[in-house]
Amino acid sequence: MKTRRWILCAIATLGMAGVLAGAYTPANAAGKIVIYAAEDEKTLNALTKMFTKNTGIDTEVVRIPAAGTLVARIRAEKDAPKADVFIGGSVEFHEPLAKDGFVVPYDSPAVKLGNIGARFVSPQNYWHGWFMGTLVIIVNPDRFKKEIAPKGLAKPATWDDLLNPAYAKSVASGTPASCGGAYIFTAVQVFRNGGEDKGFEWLKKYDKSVAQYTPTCPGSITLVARGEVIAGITWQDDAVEALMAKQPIEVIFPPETGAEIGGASIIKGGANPEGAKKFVDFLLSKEAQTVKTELGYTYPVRDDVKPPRGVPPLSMIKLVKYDRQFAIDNRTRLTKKWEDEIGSKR
Amino acid sequence: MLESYVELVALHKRFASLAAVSDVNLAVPEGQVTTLLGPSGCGKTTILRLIAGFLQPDSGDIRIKGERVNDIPPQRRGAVVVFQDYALFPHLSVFENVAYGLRRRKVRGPELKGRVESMLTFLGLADQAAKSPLQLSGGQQQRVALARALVVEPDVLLLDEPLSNLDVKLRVRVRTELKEIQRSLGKTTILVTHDQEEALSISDRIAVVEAGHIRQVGTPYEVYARPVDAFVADFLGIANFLPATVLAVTPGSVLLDTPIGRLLAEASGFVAGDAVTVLLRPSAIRLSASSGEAMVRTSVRSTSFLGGFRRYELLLGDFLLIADQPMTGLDAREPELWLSIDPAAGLHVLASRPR
Amino acid sequence: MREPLTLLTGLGVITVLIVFVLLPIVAVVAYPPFTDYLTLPENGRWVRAALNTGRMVVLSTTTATLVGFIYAVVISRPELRGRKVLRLIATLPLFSPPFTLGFSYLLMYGRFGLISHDVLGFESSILGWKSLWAVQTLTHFPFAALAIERALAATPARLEAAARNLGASGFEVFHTITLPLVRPAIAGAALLIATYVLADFANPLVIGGDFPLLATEAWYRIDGWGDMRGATVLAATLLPPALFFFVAERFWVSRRKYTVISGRGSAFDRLPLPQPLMWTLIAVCLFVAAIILSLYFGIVAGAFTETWGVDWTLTLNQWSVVLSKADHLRNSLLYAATAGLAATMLAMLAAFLVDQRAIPFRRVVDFVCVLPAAVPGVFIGIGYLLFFGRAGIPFAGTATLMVLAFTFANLPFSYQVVRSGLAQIDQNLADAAANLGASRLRILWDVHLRLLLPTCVAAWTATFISCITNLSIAIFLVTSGTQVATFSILGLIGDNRLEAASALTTALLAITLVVLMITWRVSRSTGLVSVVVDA
Repeated sequence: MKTRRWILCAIATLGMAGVLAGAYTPANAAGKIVIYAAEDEKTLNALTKMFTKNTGIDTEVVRIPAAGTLVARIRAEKDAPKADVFIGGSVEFHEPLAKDGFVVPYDSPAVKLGNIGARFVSPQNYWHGWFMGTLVIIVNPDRFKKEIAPKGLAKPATWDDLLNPAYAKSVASGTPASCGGAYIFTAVQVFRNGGEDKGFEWLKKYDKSVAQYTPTCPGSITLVARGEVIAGITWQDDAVEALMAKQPIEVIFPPETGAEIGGASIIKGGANPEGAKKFVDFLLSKEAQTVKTELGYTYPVRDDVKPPRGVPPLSMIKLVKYDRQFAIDNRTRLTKKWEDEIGSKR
Repeated sequence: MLESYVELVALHKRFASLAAVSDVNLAVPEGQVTTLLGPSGCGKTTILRLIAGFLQPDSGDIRIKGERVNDIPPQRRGAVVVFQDYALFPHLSVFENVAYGLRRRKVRGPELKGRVESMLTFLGLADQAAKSPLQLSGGQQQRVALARALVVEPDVLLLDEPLSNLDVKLRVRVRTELKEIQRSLGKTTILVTHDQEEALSISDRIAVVEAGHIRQVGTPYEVYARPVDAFVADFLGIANFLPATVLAVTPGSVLLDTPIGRLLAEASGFVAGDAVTVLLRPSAIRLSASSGEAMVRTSVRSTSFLGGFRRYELLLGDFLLIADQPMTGLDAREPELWLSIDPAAGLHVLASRPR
Repeated sequence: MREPLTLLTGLGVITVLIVFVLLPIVAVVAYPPFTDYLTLPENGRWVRAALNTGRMVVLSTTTATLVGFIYAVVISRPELRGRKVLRLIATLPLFSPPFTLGFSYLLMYGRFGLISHDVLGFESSILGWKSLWAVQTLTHFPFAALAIERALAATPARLEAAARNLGASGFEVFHTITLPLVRPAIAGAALLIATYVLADFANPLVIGGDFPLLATEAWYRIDGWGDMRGATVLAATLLPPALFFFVAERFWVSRRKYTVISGRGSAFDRLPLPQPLMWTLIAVCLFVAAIILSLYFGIVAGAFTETWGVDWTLTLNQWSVVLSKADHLRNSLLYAATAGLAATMLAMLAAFLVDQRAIPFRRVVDFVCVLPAAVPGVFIGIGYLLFFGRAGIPFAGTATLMVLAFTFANLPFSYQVVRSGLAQIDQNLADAAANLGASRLRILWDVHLRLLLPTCVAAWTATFISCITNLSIAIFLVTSGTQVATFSILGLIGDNRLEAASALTTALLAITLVVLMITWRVSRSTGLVSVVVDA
């Protein structure tokens, strides 16, 4: 009968809705932490598996490659925090959260145990740095050989090499408006050239070489790999990972470069603060640092862990004298200045 | 007056496997209404579209005022159509609808305004000028369509089933109006219709079309009373076809043997012994309760009251006859009646039996 | 009529609409301090984004509408044999993820493009506003083509014949009759396209290069800096023009559509166009169709290529990525199917109550049900993130939230389909049922549900396709466990893994196509295309 078919339909629909509702509701077991992670999937899986094995605490991971999205989410969940710990993304993301009271300070014993440098810990212990990556230059070898080498130039070794007119309109780097790495690059030029005015003078010269300011930092890798541009600026970990994935690029570590410190912080109001602390301790352990270094191509924060493959030892990297606090405090102003003087003039 | 103001000569038009128009010859006299009458699908509208230039004939000529117009595009033929559903432009006002053709003829300014307004006034539409055609009644829309066609002073006015979208009562009124307008303007008009009553009442000449052929051309009276064949006879009104045999021939008349008795009819070209068909319109039959001068007795199968007259279905053996009688005199419940033929109505003899 | 259950259902629908449509919108607009809006003109980049958005909307809308018009003229010529094929090609972009054409444009016409580089030998960058313009034109012209084709088909050929008969030349017929009659359809299509281009997010991400637009900039504010305030300011800036286009279409253009006086007039063949003009138009159409086909070819070819532009070896390697992302595809399917179901059921209920005048604030409910059509996806994504994230609702950050966002963002599609379906049901049937003692809900169940089944299938399909191809909402609401295919495709494109992205896109297109074909058979009578074009 028709009526019966309709009733069956309705029951099936309700049943399906029920199953779906069940499938969508996360189980909230005790002895478990919720991690917001802006991290590579492979690294993260290895780390959480190891953490659960070591401590017996289960993990639930919300992984989004872009740290900004997680920050936005943490801010949106102000009244009912879902996460216990937030990892990944440079400390430039963690510091504003600390300032606005979204995270709680924690003095991890692992800092002393691992002999971790003071620059890797927030002055008020709000965040802990657990890896470091530097800004690098990447080059498309084919286009370099065809277009730059004939002019008698060697591969770019310093930031200033990119100012050479040979590179006019053929470099890609991120726009500070939406890309953290590009802001650090901007700050690096300010610190390196001795002040804001000179820094911006340099940036304006560099602007002539730029073909495109990409909205994200890894965006420049794509452009270089595709040969849309000859050279680009990006993070070492993304660059080395692309290299390992056989993308056609070369990675160059210039002197006077800037670095990001990847942060980990404990979210205020999370359900399992003790578990969160254990996770931060774990991230700073030798075991976790080795995994992160090997899989993520970043520098460890402990001295007793070797640098990753394809990357020179940290001792050979000449970092610019980077005033992180100044950079964080002046971000809005410098970004706007960059946009007014460079970005919107294009 | 030109006897062939519009002339169709050996016109042929095929659509795929269908011969829509075959060997059509027709002369349309100046200033008159000539009607193409036929059932739907007979090709009459195709003929109209050929004249208007919407279609190209496969062969044959179309002449207007003696000039061959086959190669003249529709916008310059001087043959303007009033469409069956008027095809009024919904985005233009009544005024602009009427002005449309004049604007295309580069008529501008006061002349345009004057001509449109006088046409609207002529057709009683002066108050409607600013309205959208969508706001008008069916009859008004019809007049706008007419105004739009007449205002450009076409050589020929083509009316494509102009009354079919009106309700019955309005149809009769508009029919009369249309005839008056046509008379007063003396516009050569070709009308297409499937409605024999409309054709009979409005036309000066009727061309009966069937299956792409013109069967007969003549005045309304001619095609009604003297149809060339059973199709024409049947299409122009209810007809009784009596099978008959020619008994004797005299100059100008024949003596026939029919189921209702012997009849004398005006006819020629037959010889004794020919099997013929006698056309008998329902109004030509007289019925009476008593025998009198009547010829034959019939049984009444049914009667129906149709207002001005009563229609009888009569059985003569197993032969069915239809007869219309005035309302006076007869008792409708009479089971049997006597039948005779109105001598004034006349008989028409057709060569063959009806199919 | 006193029917407590019906009234209660009505109030329930109103509550649901307030919570899931109005409040998220309010949440976005109210999030930033008011002064943030005032400082917008001082931010050079945002001003640039606003100007760029304006430029892109004007340019793309103009060309898409123009191309759509030409396309419509050609596919409405009954004498053309291949017009059905041409129409089919034009419907492809309607059923594809929004970035498909942008992505494939990169593959076919980019620096390593199959056609630009390997066939024509060009070596130039295509990233930037010109390519974006081309892609937006190609992506959106089908809306105009199909809407204008329908308007042309509704314009009786006898009107053109009448004009011709009254002395108009071919051009005059077009200028004075055809064009004015289809003008409302053109304007409606243009406004619809403007709304889409304004909100589009995916194509600029893929091939826009550094061409800041409001929608993308809103995303980058969050993606790059976690700057919710900036993102909401930018998203809110999109709202007034979007609402303007929406209201203009709904209250101005759609009321000017002409109902042609119809009668028993016999059909007319359309007068032929002059040959040279016809061939020019056909050439334009074939060119556009060829580009679209080449773009779809590029996607499929990419899925079976080793390294695009370098190593053209045929391979199945890319499909291992599809396998590894199978759960993303599954998520896409599940969420889209659920949202389709939810949207259809809600639309059914709301449309029925509005249609039967059994709900308070009928006109307002009607408006709110179609309102999401005006709200850019970016805006809905941020709105849901903000409103439901903050309120401490248990399903925040889960797939449920995404499904709800999909449901309400697509409510207008289903709602309008169901309403027009209801309008075709004879009120006498409902009256007869009421006369025999059935309550309104009983009537809904007994009469309308049964008659509307094909309509429901069409509504479900439209929502399903819109959800499974959605990026702009999903990108704000995905979490690691709830990733959807479109989001992973964007990630793969970003990682320069174009071949894997092609494979995943091909898989997604295949799923969409299969679902489409199944439902097509079920509800042949209810044109799916018209669902997409009308809503």
